Amino acid sequence: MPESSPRSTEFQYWEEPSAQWASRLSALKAQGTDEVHCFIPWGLHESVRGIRDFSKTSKLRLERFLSQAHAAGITVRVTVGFPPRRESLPDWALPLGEISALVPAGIWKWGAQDLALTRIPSLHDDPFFLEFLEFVSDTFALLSLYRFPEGPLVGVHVDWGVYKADQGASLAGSYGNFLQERYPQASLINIRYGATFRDYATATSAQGMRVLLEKRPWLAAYDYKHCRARLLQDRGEALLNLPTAGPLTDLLAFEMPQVRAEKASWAIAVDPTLLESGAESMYPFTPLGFAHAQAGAAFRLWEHLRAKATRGGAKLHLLPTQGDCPAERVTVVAGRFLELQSARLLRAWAEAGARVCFPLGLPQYDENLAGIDWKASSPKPALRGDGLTRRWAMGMGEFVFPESPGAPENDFWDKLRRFDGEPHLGATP
Amino acid sequence: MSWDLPHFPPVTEADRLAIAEHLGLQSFSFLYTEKVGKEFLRAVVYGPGGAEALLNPDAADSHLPRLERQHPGSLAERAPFAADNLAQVLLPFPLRLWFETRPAEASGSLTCSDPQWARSLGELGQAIQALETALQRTEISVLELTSEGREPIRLFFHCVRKRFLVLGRLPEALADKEALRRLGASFQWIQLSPAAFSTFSGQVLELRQVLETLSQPAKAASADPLPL
Repeated sequence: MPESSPRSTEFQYWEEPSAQWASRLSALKAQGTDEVHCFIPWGLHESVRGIRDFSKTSKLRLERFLSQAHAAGITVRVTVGFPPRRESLPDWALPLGEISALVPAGIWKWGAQDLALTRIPSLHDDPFFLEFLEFVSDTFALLSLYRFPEGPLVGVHVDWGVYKADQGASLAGSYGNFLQERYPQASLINIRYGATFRDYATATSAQGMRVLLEKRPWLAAYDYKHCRARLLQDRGEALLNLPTAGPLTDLLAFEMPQVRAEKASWAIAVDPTLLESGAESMYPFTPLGFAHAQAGAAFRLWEHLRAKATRGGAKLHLLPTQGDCPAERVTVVAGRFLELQSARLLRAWAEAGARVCFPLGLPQYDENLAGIDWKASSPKPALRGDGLTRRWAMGMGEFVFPESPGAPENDFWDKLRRFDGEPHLGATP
Repeated sequence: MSWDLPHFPPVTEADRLAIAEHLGLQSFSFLYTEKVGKEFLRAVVYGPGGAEALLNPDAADSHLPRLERQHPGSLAERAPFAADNLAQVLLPFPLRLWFETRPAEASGSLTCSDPQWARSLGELGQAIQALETALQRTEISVLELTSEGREPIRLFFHCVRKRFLVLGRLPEALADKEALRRLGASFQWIQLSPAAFSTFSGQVLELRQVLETLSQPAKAASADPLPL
């Protein structure tokens, strides 16, 4: 595999006239591109059920494309799965299965903001998934012949795409099994939520989801996303167990490597638990279409910040982000709850020298409803306060938060921008 | 999709915003709200300065025309790949919601607080229908929108039997009239540069006039050998 970081670009072979592939690839190479990324669309390669076309239609001659890329000296990284494109799903597959995934409508149109939901076959419905698996099996068999260095293939990315924002995951038969991982007895759900479910089935029913969301919206979102991630992991394991996946095992990845951003002077880190992300846009967390007031508030806050940050040149990060602290000053937008992993990350950033500001106050509870012990890993923090803001020295950096935080109002951006521990700006009057 | 044509990238939301700017529709402020039951999911003021999302919708300027989308008890559902009409392809969110052809229960009902705005939105739909008629006159069309101080935007249309088979952005590298002419049996290049008006209704009227003129069939030479 090539060692240095290559210059890469997207090249969808099925969007270009095949007669022009060679000249386009040569031109890219001449411009300094070493690697192309392309998506292998199930919807085009198997537009007729059971007939997988990799050689008949000129634009779908995948082997020819791979050979031409190799001849041009360009490596190829492919994606299989369900990125938000029309070509991801064949028409004949749309009515398959008995359960549906519910995906925000805006996802299908990049940058669009439609909050309505679209119904597509669920990945957790076997008739649909087995069809996909057969397509992937054939694709893997073909790809394994073109591994680097004999061929151009250096990576295979499995992208669950639109299913990562599925609002209908709780309809999957095995959803309850993963909820049981979090709560080994149904009575524990009742203790956490203050509910009275008899068993897992009632807790995962549509009515049960509504009750969970009403009782503890943040925790319901956390639990739902935990189960959805485990369901996708389960599907990933089925894919890895394909006989044709064997020769590609070391090339297969389920997450694309993150591009490390340069350290900025200021960054905003947002707790996304009550939000859903997909195709450059965010959506409120709305399992089975139910919308809770807190999800609405989190979404309005996100839209407020996104519009302002875009104009103000600030970058929004979703917690927990991978890697090092993105800025010297990090403003955290989170409520009373925060995932333990995010809390640990923020503490580590402060200890390494960042000033971490919490204009909405310090989050108090984690996903187990245990109090977050912010002070545990460092010597007792030096507390300085002026009656409006509190500052805790944390290692080489500090935590800054208001004495009595107020609810965000329409001028929230201005307050947040200035909230860096200055006494006159810290608290809501 | 026609396999012989080069790739024309689909129209993105950023393109739609640019199109609305060229058409002069971005100069007018309005408040858009979206609710499920009684819960606000979204409150955004759209206007010349861009979009301003409000945390507290009640604090919005009460004089602004208000577009309100009301989902039923849970979020509305729609078919994943339903074909968009031309207004939905060209206009940005949330204006394009006004041109939904599906029933309200499928997409959430949309109402407008200002009757004059509502009327103008209806007229805008008619104006875009006139544009559609003009574009359907030839197999290949390019629509070029220009206005002062902005980058022009060019759209490519491949139309057969009054259906758009391809509708996308025309990249600079493909903007060669002769090459485009060879792609189909008939070809037209439409350039639009509407004037700017100070009211929404005035702007829509201007668009309607420009686009309806465009959709009129070209006057043929008189068939009467002996005109009076």
